[in-house]
Amino acid sequence: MNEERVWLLLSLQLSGEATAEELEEYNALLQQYPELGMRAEIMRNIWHSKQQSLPVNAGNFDKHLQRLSNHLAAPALQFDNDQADNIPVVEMNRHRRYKWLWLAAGAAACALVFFLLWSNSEKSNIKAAIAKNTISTRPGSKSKIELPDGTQVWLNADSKLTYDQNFLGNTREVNLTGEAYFDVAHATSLKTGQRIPFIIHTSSIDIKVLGTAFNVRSYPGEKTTETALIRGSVEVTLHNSPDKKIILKPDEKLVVKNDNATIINNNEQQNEAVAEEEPVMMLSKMQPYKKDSACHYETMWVKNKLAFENESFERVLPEIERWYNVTFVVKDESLKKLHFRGVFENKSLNEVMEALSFSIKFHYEIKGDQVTVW
Amino acid sequence: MYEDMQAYHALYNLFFNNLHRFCFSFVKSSEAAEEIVSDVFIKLWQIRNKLSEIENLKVYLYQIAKNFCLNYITRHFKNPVASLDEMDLETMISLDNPEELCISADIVNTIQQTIKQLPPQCRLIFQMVKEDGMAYREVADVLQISVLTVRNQVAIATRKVAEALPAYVRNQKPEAGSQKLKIKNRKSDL
Repeated sequence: MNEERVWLLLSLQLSGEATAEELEEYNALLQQYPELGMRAEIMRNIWHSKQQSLPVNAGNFDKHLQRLSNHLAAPALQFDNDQADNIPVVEMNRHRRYKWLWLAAGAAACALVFFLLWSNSEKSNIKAAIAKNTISTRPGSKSKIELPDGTQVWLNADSKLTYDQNFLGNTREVNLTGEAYFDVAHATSLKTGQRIPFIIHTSSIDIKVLGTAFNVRSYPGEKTTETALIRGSVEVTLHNSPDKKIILKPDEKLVVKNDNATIINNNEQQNEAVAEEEPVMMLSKMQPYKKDSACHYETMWVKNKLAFENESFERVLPEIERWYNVTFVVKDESLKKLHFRGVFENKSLNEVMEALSFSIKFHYEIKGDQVTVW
Repeated sequence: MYEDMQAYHALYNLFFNNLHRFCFSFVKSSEAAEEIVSDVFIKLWQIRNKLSEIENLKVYLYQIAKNFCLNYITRHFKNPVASLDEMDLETMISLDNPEELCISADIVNTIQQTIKQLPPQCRLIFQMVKEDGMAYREVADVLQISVLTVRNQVAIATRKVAEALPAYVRNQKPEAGSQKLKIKNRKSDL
């Protein structure tokens, strides 16, 4: 007997998501297996038992109003704070009259703030456009930030993100140097009701998105710019050929050579891609770290894991340099052709070098922040 | 302005308990949860002139709340995890007292244990659907997962709890009695 089906149908019914057919099927199954009826009935009772929703304490809202007022007052009206802070919260609960007085005062303050902000912004609209915010990380450190629109950004080592002061206008645009993982929040234009695109400018490509999660790697010294999409979809425009737009699907990765010219899709034209010595652009499927895992090599740094998926020494070294804030001196050029695969979590530079040199024989020496390999 | 404030107050009261519980699941501190709910409503106040543009206010509020909770976690927890799957969540699924449910206190305990053992994301989804009465689509939008995932997770939670319940025994067999499952069968039609 398919008991599981019964519970699925019951869950659909209880959450109000069942279709008419599903309800019919559920009733039929229950008649067929009356022994499940008891448990189904108890389940229904459990589902409908709700905590007695206590009326919200009036003090909560008062406290909230105070925070609101402080918050609104902070940017423009500093003098307002003194007055607001002096009104004890407990007092307000006891005397309703004070409460309304407080509400009125708060409302008036808000109105004033809004008026001032509004009249201010009218005047200084032109000037405001110049102001920029910059967030940057040094080698050896990473950072997670939230942009004003709710978009989450993980910034890898030695990277820089800038955005305009008026970020939350009709477009959301940021400039990226280095590597970052974006989890873009949906934003809707308040005027037109349309989704506001989020645009990332790098030295060689622009990436336009609506709401999605993906990784961008665009370090100045590197030969390529990489875009790896986790979910949603993004549209990539190459600076060199702005008329060509590439749409990425989840689990796809786009690698663009930084001085580019033509487009090659790795999925369909693999042979041709190999034939050309260095493709300008390559679209490929991302390799999951383990089968069936949602974890990709491209985004493991977000979880503080240093990961290489069959990457050349040439590419591995700068990554280690940024990760541990060290510099490499390569004495044997042939080493640069070697390839590595591996994941390191919370390992010291010593341990990483030990593991790498063990898997593919080479020598290394760490002296302060300089690593020599041969 | 005054009318705005009244509506605002009503909205606050309407959502406070649910949002507070939702935030508590993440931050596990009543004070912090209250502050986050307050922040959510500050944000709401700031955009109150444009509320008509928001498709689903409930989803919107939960989404901001979730973002603020995750921010809070990255700021205050030592080892923040970014995915719901790995996050340790404190959920509150309410159960009536045994008598209302026609089962023994033992079984209520068993049910609570069963719920505790569900994966965090599963519990959170179950909480949102059962306690907050949210539609699958809404939960999916807030947590940015697929509707199918929500459907599956709710089904899993329901099945696990149902399986922990005593089976109905038509003829009182001796084994059934020895199981110490005191089933008060108040409804004669069962």
